[in-house]
Amino acid sequence: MKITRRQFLQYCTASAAALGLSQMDLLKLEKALADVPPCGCHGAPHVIWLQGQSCGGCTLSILNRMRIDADLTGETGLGPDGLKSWTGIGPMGTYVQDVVDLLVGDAVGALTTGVRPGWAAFPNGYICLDYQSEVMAGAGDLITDYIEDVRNSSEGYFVALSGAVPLYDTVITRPGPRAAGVQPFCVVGSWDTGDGLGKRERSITEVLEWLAVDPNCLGVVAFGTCASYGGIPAARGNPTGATGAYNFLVNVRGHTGLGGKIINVPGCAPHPDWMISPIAYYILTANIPPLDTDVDTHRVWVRGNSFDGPPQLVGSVTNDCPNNRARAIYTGDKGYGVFCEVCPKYSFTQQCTDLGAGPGNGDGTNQKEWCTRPEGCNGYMASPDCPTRRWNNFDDNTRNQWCVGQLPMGSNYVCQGCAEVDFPDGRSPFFREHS
Amino acid sequence: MPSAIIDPVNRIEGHQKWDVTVDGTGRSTSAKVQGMMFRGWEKILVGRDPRDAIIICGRI
Repeated sequence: MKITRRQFLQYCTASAAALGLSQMDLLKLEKALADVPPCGCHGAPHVIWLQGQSCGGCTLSILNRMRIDADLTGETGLGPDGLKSWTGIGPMGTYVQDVVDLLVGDAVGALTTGVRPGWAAFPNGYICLDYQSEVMAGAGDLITDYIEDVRNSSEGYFVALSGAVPLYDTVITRPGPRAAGVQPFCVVGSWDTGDGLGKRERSITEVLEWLAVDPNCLGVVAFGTCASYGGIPAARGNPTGATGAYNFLVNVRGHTGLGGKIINVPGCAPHPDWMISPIAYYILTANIPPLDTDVDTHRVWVRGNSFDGPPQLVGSVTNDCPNNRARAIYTGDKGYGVFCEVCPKYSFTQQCTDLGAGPGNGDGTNQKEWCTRPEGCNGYMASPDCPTRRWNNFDDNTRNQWCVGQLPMGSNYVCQGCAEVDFPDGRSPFFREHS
Repeated sequence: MPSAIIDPVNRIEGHQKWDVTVDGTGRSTSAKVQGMMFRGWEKILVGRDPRDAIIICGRI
């Protein structure tokens, strides 16, 4: 929605004490607003990021996506040309990478500095991240009033959800802050959802449904395994009836028409590239990205054409591994790799300079096992592209893994299968060989 | 007595609500910080291989 400068200043004045803004500061803010387009123009979709029963990992994952160059200037650290100081690296290609940089750097930068940096000259290349409770500047009524206005306007918005939805939450129907005997497991604030009860504590079940059913909702993006399939809050023994957004909205609440608009981005935590991709795709094409045809997963296809596929086998050598597991050894275009017959997508990468010998001294001594499947690695069946995309935002050849991978490139850990539908119960007990 | 409620609290991980009531002189008579979300980690861990806690508890 086109928030006018006057409206924004009214919001600011109401919270001037909380923000510590003096009258002079408000005048500076007014000047800054004059230089940038108002929120929601040029068709930029709003993104309202709700937290369900979440751990915050999805937010942290996306925040890890940003990296500041060495040539920073200015107080905000954004550089004289706005967003150019934010860099993002990865195999997604320059065009889409620009969108990633703009989205994350711009949106979070606006929220954390309070001043929206200059928009880069990129057509359709940004979003309005209006609500994200872990980084946003507004609190309480200040922000819920605004989101209610967004929802009641005619402007399109995405609902992003991280964290599970507790089915055992009951709708609070009695007046007062909390009705006696009602035990909500996840309250996301005091909202007025237009049901005549005014502004009161609302469960994530109410707010999510209220935002998702509006015709202006462009889609529901479920970040993380918790929001996609229930995840760890939905594990065996949980007392809250946690479940994912798709099951809640389509099966429990019966909004079958929403099924095509719900995008699951599983992972615990999901890779920031996977999280940005559906929104970047929408910004570029004005369409929901292609999803898995398997309705149980309803997952954005993170190994599509715009992402690197598995490395090509280059100069492969078939050689019996001393441990009778690895069958093919090659040095691919990623510099190194071990392709193990047992693991069709190979469970780890291993620096290999002496073909035919295992890791260690190269003379047959100090060899380590190559495949960690007996220790519980789920890499043989895991869906995502972690071995190629890697984690933690380093340059391509040095990208470290937060989980899988042999030292020093990885953490010497086994794949937990954290992006699968049955995580964690189907992958548990974790430290045993899976059939 | 006037009260101020901030719900949700921003810039934190998780869900929180602040509820302060002040009397006529501006002294607070009641100040509550409420945690607004529950998942039940202890119940989820019951009956599992203990080493699963390494995986599961990291997501708390």
